[in-house]
Amino acid sequence: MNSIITEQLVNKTTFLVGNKKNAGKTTFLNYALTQLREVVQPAFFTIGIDGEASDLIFDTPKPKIYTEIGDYVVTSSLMLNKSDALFEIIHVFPYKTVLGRLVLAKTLRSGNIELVGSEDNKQLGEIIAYLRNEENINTIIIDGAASRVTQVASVKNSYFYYIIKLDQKSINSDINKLRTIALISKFRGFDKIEDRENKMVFEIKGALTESKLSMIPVDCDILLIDDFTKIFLDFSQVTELTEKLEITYKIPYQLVSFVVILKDIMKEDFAKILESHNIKETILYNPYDY
Amino acid sequence: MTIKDTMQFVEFDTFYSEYAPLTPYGLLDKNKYHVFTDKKMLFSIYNSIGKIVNFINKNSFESDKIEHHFKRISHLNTLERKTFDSSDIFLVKKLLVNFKSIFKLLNDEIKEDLKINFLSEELLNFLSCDGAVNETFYLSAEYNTELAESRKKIAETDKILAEIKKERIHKILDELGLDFRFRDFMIASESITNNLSSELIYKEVYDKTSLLLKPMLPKEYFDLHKKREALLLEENKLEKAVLISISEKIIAEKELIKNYINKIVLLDTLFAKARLAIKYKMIAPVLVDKKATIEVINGQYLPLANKCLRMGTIYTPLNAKFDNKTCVITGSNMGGKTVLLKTIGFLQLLTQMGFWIPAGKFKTAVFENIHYIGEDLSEKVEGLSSFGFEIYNLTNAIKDFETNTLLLIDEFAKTTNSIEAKAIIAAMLKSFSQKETVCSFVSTHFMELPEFEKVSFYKMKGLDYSEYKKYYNKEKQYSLPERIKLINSFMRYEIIKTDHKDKTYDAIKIADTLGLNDEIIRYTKEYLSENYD
Repeated sequence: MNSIITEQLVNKTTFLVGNKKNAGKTTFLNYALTQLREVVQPAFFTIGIDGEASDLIFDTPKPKIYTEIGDYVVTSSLMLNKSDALFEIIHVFPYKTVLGRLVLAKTLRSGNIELVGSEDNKQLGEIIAYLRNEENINTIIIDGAASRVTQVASVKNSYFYYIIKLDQKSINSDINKLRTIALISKFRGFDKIEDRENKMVFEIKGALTESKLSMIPVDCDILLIDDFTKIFLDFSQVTELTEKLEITYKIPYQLVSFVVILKDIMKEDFAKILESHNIKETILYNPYDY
Repeated sequence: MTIKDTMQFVEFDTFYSEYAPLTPYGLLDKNKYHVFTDKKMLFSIYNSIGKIVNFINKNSFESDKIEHHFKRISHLNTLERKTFDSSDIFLVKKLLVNFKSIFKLLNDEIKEDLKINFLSEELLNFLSCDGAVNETFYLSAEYNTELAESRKKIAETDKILAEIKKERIHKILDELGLDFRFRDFMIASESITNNLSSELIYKEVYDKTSLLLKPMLPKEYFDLHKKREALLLEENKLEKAVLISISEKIIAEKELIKNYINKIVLLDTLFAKARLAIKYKMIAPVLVDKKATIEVINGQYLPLANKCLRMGTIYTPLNAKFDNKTCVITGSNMGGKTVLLKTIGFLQLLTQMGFWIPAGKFKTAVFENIHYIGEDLSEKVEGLSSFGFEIYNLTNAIKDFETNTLLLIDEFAKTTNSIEAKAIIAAMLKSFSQKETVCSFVSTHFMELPEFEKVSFYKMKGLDYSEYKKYYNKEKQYSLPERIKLINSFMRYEIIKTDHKDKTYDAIKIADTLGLNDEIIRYTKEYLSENYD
């Protein structure tokens, strides 16, 4: 058992977010579940539609999600009917998807399941609140759709893994993304800022994009944005901004770890890249590595 | 009946937002904003509320539990289907479980009054055939012996498959040192994988230097897996047959289930109204004949009463016994004329929406129509002046005069010339008072309106100027909120009977209190003295 991952996930709500499609989120989910089952009965679900045997848009095969006896799953009623597992239905949510209403079910016989989730942040928050408050389910993993980082912030006190696939072909942009996430993950929540009344606070509603940089007053001390998912700047832009002011969040989030999937890159070479960029965040290497 | 304008005028939603049914059905019903015109139905509703108020007061534990069960009820998927799936059946079962629990908690008086019964014990037991009479649902093997047999075979197959896989994984671990216990595959460098037995390990290219490795399972595993697939197909067929048989049983009781839903709406909305009645110490309105007049004792206009409570100011409830169906309300500015109209409108809406009312007594008739005519609360209609808008609304209201109509008219024609305005108001009073179906409250600043039979005049008591003068310091620089508070403190918000000749001259005093400069006050007094008695 990988006790590090288990400890990181137990009694928490954790999102799995990837830098691109097929980054390895679902594979990591399957692995994380095998670890967790040694200790708790986890709940898992997704945002949007996932888990098709063949991805119709990208024509790439996707791994199946394996549910075992005792697991709690949230998916659509249609997906439950299609699964070779057996379920006891615990709750039917009032939310409809194109594939039926969302259902909370407990696994009675192991098997494969396709996940369908809510695309709505508010519904997502309500589902999580229901699991925690009504069913006492506290270990929750949510498989986020590619780059749908926005969902993290819909639930306060949530965590996330950032699964990043680093390919030699796109190494520079991948590293840039990693550096940016590493940097912006450190910004504080607004309520942690001292002496707020005597500081010039400027709020940007919605996304922080390059075009909005000119809106920021010259004498701004604190730039307030909703959460880290609203930052659409690259590493150098963020760095330049933070030299002039402090960026804070209405909803801070907590990055548990990067999960790094390397392709055509040696681990030692990657370690050197991390060192050269002074990236000290927790890195979990592909748990499927020998 | 369109009452949107009246609701807006009396700020009804500030109260209505506190009306909180707990089930999705109750909430849907709430959003319909039912207004009743059937006296018998209203009596029945008031009586039912009374029974539930008593029940809540005497059985707090049971009523808390009932609320708990209300909250557990989910909206069913449609019942108009031939076959239901597991989640549909789950919802039906959950409804039955909670409805039955509510039924058991209610007393006989309420059950009899609302004709509530639970007749689906057999169906509920059938849906709980695995013994679990709880809210969850599972397509149990107990429903069908063939299904039980099919699942048993699948379980046995799964066990063998797991054993074969476990044995192979352990063999790989022992012989090759590769651990697949928690992983379906592994990425390893080519150098490590070179000598791996292809009987035990499947390899494919991952990247330039690594291979993806998977445990190679024996042929018997795949043969057994195929057998499992066939068993699953068989199981699926049997499950469908079971779902059909369960669906048939549900469909047979479809009308009963719909009746339970109707009863849930009734109970949920009555309990919500009862809770409000307890909170605001409400009583049942008294409904009288259409020809009778309105009477109010300690009538509370809750949107204002609650505001006063929050601000720590005094609220004066309405006490009035109107002796005619056409009433003119006069009085000074800020004297409470509009609030009086709002109070009548608010209490009437509550009455006809089946609520109890926050008053010592409210005696009224049932109106087929309720109209507010006054300031345009909606978006301005292009091309229509304020006066034009009032005339338009009045014209529409008059179309309803064949049936019992309540009119709340607030300072009609204040934006047009005073001579014609007064004439129109006089004409309205004459016309309304001649119609038995019309009950109207007309607030106005115009004095010396003509006298008509069947028209009564009332005025708001107004500013207690003698008391106010003792307190008001002309030299002090009061802020606007302070000035308003001052006026409110000495304004007497009581209504008194008067006649058509009564005159009120508080405007200058109010203007002075609000800080209008001395020069204009002096000129005003001079003008009045030169031109009027």
